[in-house]
Amino acid sequence: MPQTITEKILAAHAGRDTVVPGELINVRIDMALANDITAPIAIDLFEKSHVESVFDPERIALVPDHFVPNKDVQSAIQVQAMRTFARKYHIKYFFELGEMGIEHVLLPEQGLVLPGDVVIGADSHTCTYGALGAFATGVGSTDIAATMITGEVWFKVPESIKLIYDGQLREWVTGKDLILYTIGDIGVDGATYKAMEFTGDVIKALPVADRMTMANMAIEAGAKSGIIPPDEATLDYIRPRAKRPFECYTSDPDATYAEVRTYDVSNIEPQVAFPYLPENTRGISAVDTIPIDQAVIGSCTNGRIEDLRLAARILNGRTIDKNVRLIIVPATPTVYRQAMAEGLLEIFLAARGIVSPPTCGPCLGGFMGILGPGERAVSTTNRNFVGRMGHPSSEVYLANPAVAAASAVLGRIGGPDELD
Amino acid sequence: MFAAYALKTERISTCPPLPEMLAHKLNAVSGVGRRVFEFRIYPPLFDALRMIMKIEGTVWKFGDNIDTDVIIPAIYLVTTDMSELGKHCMEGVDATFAEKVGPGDIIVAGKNFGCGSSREHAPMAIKGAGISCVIAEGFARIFFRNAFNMGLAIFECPGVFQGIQEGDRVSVNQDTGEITDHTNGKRFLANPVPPFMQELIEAGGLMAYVLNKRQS
Repeated sequence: MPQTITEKILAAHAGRDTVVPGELINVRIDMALANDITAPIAIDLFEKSHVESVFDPERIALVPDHFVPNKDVQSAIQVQAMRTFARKYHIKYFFELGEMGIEHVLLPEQGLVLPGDVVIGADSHTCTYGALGAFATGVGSTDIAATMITGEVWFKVPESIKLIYDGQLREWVTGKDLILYTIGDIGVDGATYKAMEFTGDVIKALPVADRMTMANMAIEAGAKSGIIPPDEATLDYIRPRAKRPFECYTSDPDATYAEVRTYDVSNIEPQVAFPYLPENTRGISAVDTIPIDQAVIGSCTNGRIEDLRLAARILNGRTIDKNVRLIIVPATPTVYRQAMAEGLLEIFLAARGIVSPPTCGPCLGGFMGILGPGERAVSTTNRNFVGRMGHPSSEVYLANPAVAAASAVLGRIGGPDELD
Repeated sequence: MFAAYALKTERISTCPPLPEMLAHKLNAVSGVGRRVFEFRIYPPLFDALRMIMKIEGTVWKFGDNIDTDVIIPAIYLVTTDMSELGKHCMEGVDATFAEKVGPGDIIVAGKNFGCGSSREHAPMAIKGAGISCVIAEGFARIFFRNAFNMGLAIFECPGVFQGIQEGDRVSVNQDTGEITDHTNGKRFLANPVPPFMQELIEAGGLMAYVLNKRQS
């Protein structure tokens, strides 16, 4: 029976030859992830179960990244709970400050999520790892607690939507723009419960970093997962990093899809998602004069070295508008050091930006750049909900790193083409 | 099935010890504290309890795409205490919601309720605020899963958003999934709970289900 990549991965992990969308299955998981917001609930439930050990201390990753470096006493207590738990149960992949980075950049970088894996994370952007050809999805803390006991999780096999991207990418158009455009097209619930499979010549030529940005935001269309069949580019990324064997799956040509959509990217310009939903997208040329107070470049969506290089291309030799605060967040210590080695940090600081340690802080209005009443930010992050980055009357406009950097210079939302 | 769900999502802390033969043995996930424990109910008490724990309350309405950031803003995610989270429930859309809402009140919403983050603090905050159930046109996937896992009653019911107004008095028959608006007399039927979710509910939530399987 012809199957999609998603169905093949789930079947393999359920000990089956095939699975059918809608079926409920129990699958073995390769990695379970939780952060400093979601892990404490899972830890509490695990401890109350009186089970003496976790299913496999090498298949649990605990990443304190949201409110770390600890923003207050309460967040310090949450990280303490993770640290204590990690020591007690010999969790191999607990990332202490200095090694800690934004989870969805860190885990691929460290070779902990691989093609063909089933990964669950108590964080909705766990779907990022689909970019490497894994089935990866966000769940809640209770699911993580149960999986820490059993090593398994239940799923309803999702239907798949095939999204084909053809044509020639315009200048300054990135994976971020493709996914924003797609969410604008299908809506924030356009893929609810489904797997979004990104394919086409454009995807095949897309760098792995951009692929991760696309899969990362599958959740913003309501999807269970986003996935890109692995190819040479995937393997080039994976081979030096992989810490265990892995298997590559691809979809059969005659596999069944709930829906197939084709996009000619030649018509897509850099996108901006207006408040208060990621589906409120416009091409950059359709954006009026919108003054901004802050620009944020970072997050699990766009905090990779490639994103910082793109921002630096814009900011090199320029200074940002006097009314704008620019916050740049390298996603991991490795990204930070690489940016330093390449002179990017010097460019950011010379432009009058600041460089934060790795953290999710500003993206979710936690700390490190909270917006006040009525303030506006352009941000390379993934959500622009009411109050996402601070006060309920503040506004977040989502864009790619080139647009965010250009906007910081212009003092209003604008693209690189508008710079002198 | 709906009845069993309601029973197990309420807190029942004391029950007289019973001979095994007479008891319905149930596991439950409690509300505050989330302690997994076991309790027993006399069969005649079952119906009485069902009456007591019938879902009926005043409706608070919210629109489409109510995301987890407005259900519980991220700055409050530094605690796992349900009642503390409840104090800030829906603060992103209505700063005074937690003060206004009464015990047992019901949220009625549009499509894609609970979209966004995987934070289980969202269903916890709703429950902590005293809300008895959420009825929506549709739920976002992770919220749906979390609500079942941690014991917040939710009902998917197309047509409910147009048919029920804020302030209406509404009850839910958990046996049949029938939803009645006592203010305007309209009735609705919730989508049935998928069979596997019913198994989870019967066990008393995901943790109880997993631990039961482990013991058997």
